[in-house]
Amino acid sequence: MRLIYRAILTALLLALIVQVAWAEEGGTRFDEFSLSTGDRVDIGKFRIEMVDVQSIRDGLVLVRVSRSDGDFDEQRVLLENSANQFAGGAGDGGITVTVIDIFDEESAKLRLEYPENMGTARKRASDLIRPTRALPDLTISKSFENRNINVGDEVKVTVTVKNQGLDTARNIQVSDQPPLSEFVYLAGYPPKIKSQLDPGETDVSVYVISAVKEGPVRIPPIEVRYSDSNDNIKSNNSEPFEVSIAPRKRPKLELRIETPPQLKFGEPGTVNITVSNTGQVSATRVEISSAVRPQEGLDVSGLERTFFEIPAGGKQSYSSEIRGTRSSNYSITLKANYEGADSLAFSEATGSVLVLEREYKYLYYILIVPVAIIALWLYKRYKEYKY
Amino acid sequence: MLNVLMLGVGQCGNRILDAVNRQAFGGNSRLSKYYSRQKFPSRVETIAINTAVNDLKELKFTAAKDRLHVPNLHGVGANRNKGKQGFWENREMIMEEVEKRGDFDVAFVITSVSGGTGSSFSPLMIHELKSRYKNMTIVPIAVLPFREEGTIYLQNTAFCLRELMEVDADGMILVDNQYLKRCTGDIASAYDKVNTMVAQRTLFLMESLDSEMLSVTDLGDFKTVMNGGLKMGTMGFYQADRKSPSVRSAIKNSLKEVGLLYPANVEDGEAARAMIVIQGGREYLDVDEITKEIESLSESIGHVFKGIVVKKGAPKVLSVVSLEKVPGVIELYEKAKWAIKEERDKKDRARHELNDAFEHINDLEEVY
Repeated sequence: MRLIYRAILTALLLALIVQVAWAEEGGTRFDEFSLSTGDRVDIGKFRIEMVDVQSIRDGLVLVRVSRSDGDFDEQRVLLENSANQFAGGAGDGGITVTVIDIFDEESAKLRLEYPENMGTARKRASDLIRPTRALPDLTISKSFENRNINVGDEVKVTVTVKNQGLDTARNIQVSDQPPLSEFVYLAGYPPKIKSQLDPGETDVSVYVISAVKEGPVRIPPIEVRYSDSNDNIKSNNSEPFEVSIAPRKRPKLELRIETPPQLKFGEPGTVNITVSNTGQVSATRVEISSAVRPQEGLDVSGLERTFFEIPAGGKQSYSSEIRGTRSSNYSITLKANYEGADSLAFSEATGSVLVLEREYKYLYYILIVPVAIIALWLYKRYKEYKY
Repeated sequence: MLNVLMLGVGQCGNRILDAVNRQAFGGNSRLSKYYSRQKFPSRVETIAINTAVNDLKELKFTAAKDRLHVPNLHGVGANRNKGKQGFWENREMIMEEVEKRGDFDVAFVITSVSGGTGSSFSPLMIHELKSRYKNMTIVPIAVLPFREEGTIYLQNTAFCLRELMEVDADGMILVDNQYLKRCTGDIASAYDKVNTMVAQRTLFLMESLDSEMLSVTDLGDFKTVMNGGLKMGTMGFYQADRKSPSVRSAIKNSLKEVGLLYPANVEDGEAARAMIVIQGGREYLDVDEITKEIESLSESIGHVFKGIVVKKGAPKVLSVVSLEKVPGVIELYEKAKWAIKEERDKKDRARHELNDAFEHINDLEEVY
C-alpha cells in the first residue's frame, strides 16, 4: 500500500511540474468584456466582434471572429454559458469565446480565452453610430381605490399597463397571482389587459374585491410579460405595498333613557328616550322593546318603537308617558334589536323611577286646620279684647 | 240664676272690673283670655265706663264691646263738676249700653270715690239705675284713696261718699286703699293687689248668692245685711290651709282687720249685721262648729246670716259686714274739711296776690 501511495503522489507531483512547465512555455489567459452590438476586441491578429443579441430569453448572441490576414472569418450564434472554439480554440492557438451574461438586446458580457503569447486584448468600441432600436417598454401598476379598508368593504383594484417604449409590445400577459386570502374576489378578476399595446398606449383593468379578514396585508407586485418584435420576452413588475384591513364596520346603537327620579302617586311623568347610532354604518330594522320591573304598578305607554333605519351618526328621540299606581322603585329596561353589517345586534339601557307613596293631602289639614282654628281663635280673641 | 251687672267707672273702677274679668278667666296669666273662657257663677255683664280713652285701652281682660268711652271728654281732671256735666250730656248713651244688656237683679258699681270720672259719674249712675230698674239691688263698691294722694282727692271723696249715701243705694262696700296698702306693704304692687282682692271677693260673693248651698244665703240676705247700720259695709276673707283647716278659726280670721277691705273692729261693736259664707270640702265643714261660731258672732254683731257651700278644698270664708261705726270715714271727712279749706285759702291767696299785681297798672294805659 505504501508503495501505491508513493506512486500516486509521485505521479501527481510530476503532472504538476509538467503543467507548470507547459504554462511557462505557451499558456492561455482570459479576459471578460462587456460589449455592445458592433463593439470588438482585438487580440493579436484575431478580431472578436459582437454582432447582435438575438435572444435574451434563449441566451443567443451572434459573434463574429476573424483574422486580420483574412485566413479566418467565422460568424456564429453562441449559446449563453457555452464555450465556443474558434480557429482551434485557445488551446490550439485559436480563441475560445463564452457568453457569460446577456444584459439586454444590445449588450452582453463575453469571456475570451486566448494564448498568452498573443499579447494583450484590446476592446474597440464600434465606430458606427448605431441606430436606436425600437423596443417596447411596459410599466404596470396596481392601485387600491382606498387604502383604509374595513372588513366587508368592497375595494376597486385598478391595474394599469402602459407601453412607454417605442415598439409594440406583444403577447402581453399579466400575472396577478395568487389571489390573496384576505380578500374575496368579486368581479373582474383576473385582470384582463389587451395582448398588444402600441407605443404610448395604456390599458386599464379593474376588478373588485371585498376584504374578509382584518390585519395588515402585503399586496404583492403584479407582473406583466411581453415580447418585442424579435420575440424577446420581457417582464416588469409593479411596486408592492401594504394595506391595513380594519375590523368590519358596524352600527352601534346607544340607548339613553331619562326618567323622572321621583313620581308622585297617580301623577303622570315623562320618559325621554334617545337612540343614537355611534357606529360606522346604518342600523336597520331597529326594534325597541321594554320591560318594567316590577310588572304591576307602573302604567307605561309608548315606550316601544320601530325604526327602519338609523344612519351612522344619526339619532332618534321620543317620549313616553308613565303613571305610577303603586308605590315602589321601578326599573325600566329598554332593549334595541337591530341589524347592520349582515349581523344582528342589540343594546340595552335601564332607568329607574321611584313612585312615591300616595299623598294624603288631608293629612296636612290635620295640622293646618287646628293651627288655623287656633290662629282664628287667637285673632278673634285679640280683636275681641283690642280696644 | 242671678243676673249681675258690674260697672267699673273711672280708672280705678275699670281696673278692678278688669281684675274681675281676669279672675273669671281662672288665673293670673296674661294669656288666659286667649285659651280660656270666663266662668262667672251667674250671668254677669261687665261694662267699663271712662271719659279717658287711654284708661280703657289699658284694660286687658275686658272685652272691647264692654268698654264704654264717654265721648268728647279726655278725662275730667278730677273735677267732679265737669264729670257730672259729662254724665248728663251722655246719660242716654250710657244707659242705653246698660239697657241693651237686659235686666239685672243686682248691680255692683265699682268706683274710686276720689277720682274724677268715677266719683262724679257713680252717684248719678246709681240714681239713673234706681230710677230705671226699680227692683234691682245696687251696691256701690267704693274705693277710698290713699290719704296722701292730695287735697282734691280728699275733697272728692267727701262729697262723693255723701252723694252715694244720698242716692239711696242698697248699702255700700268700702275698700280702703290706705289700709290695704299698709297690709300689703308693697306700694308698687298695692293697686294690683287691691284690685285682685276686691275681684276675688266679689266673685266669691256672687257665687255664694247663686249656688246650691247646704245652708242658704241669697240676694235678700245680702241686701238685708247691706242695709244694716250705716249702710256701709265691707268684706272680709280668709282661706285656711290644709295644715290648720279649722273652719271656726277661718271664720274668725275672715273678720279680723287684716282680712277686711276696710278696717273695722267687728267684734267690738262696730258691725251691725253680717253674712258669713263658708266654702270648702265636706270633710272640713262641721256644721255644728260653724253654727257655734255663728252664734258666737251673733252675740257680738247682732244678726249673722250663714251660708255653706260644699266644694272641694280647704275652707274659705267670705264675710260681708255692715258697719255701725266708721271712724276712718269720719277722720277722712275731717281731713277733707281741712283740705277744702286749704284749697279755698290757696285760691284766695293766689287771687289776692294777682289782684295786687293788677293794681300796679290800674291807672295806666298801653303805650305803642
